[in-house]
Amino acid sequence: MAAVKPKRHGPSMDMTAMCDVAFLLLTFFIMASSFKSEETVTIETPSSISEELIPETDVCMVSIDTDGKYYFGITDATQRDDFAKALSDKYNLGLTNAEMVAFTSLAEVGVPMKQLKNYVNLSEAQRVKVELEGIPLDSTDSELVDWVKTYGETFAGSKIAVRGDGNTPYPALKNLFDEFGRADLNKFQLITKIEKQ
Amino acid sequence: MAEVVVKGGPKKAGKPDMTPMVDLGFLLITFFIYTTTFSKPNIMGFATPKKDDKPPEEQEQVDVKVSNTITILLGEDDRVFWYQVPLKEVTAEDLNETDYSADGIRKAILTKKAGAITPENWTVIIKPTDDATWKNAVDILDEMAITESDKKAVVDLQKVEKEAYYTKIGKPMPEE
Repeated sequence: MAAVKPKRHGPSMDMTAMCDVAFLLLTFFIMASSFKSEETVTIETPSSISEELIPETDVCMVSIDTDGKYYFGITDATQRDDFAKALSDKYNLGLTNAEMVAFTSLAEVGVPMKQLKNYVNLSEAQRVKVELEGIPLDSTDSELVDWVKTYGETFAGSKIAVRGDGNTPYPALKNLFDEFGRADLNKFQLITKIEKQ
Repeated sequence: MAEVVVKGGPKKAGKPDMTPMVDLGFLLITFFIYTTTFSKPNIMGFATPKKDDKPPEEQEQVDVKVSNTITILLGEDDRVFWYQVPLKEVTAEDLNETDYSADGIRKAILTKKAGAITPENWTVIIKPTDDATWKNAVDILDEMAITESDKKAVVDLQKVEKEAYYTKIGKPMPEE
């Protein structure tokens, strides 16, 4: 009996199936993710068992780094230009349209209002080098409260998220809750990450 | 111009080579993975009481029976202490040191909660010292969710507690 020889395939194979998979994955990643904004500060949040996710929109985020410096950010990038305009009008910062557009690329701002105009004009590479002093928040100068209030006025019903680094000393947070409490802001959303089991 | 004669009759639509398209597909995937954030962080609701500027000793106290409460002091270096005695009488001996594990503070809370006279009034008082970190505070708030202690208060330490705490950790009390 003649031996049946298996049909030999050449080195090129049919790529159609692989192509399908690649584009399927691509579609999935585009749908399931959102674009990163330029992060000013790295914050390692503590973990919790909470399963509630942060809302997509109407959230302003106050970040506190390990040195106890405060940063202000808006989660939804499409709200940033309206906020920049409101802030600029209210406190006469004189931001131009181009500067407001530059503001929308920032996840957090860590400079006082007076320096905001200069800060947004810097290039991305220059911004990394700037020594950020944080937004002031103490009994003499509670500027961060003004930022949050301006955001609250621009977008009614917005929430305040607090994103503290796990190693931030507690007094920095206490000061935040105290100062915000004085301005009648009593509800916060604490940002955490999912507990590793 | 010479005509090109195609052998074999009418031209068949050949299979296009998909390789470059696959390359492009994966290139785009790589790009999207690098430039996007995938997971959204979690949030935990937290409300602070209305602010009044009086020192902690003079603030209005809701009268809760001691046996219905547990007070947790968050200390330095991830140390945590709890006590269940009237606030005015607290001393270093009353502070029980434990840790943030399930067998530590959670067990203490659950034991005391089970022993509460009126469980519906069960209240946990959280007092982070100036040495505590944010992680400690979130861990304890998380324990509140785990042990289902809905009534909780995050407040400042009073002088007697500070004295007890600094005696317990063996450090001089910092000047105000």
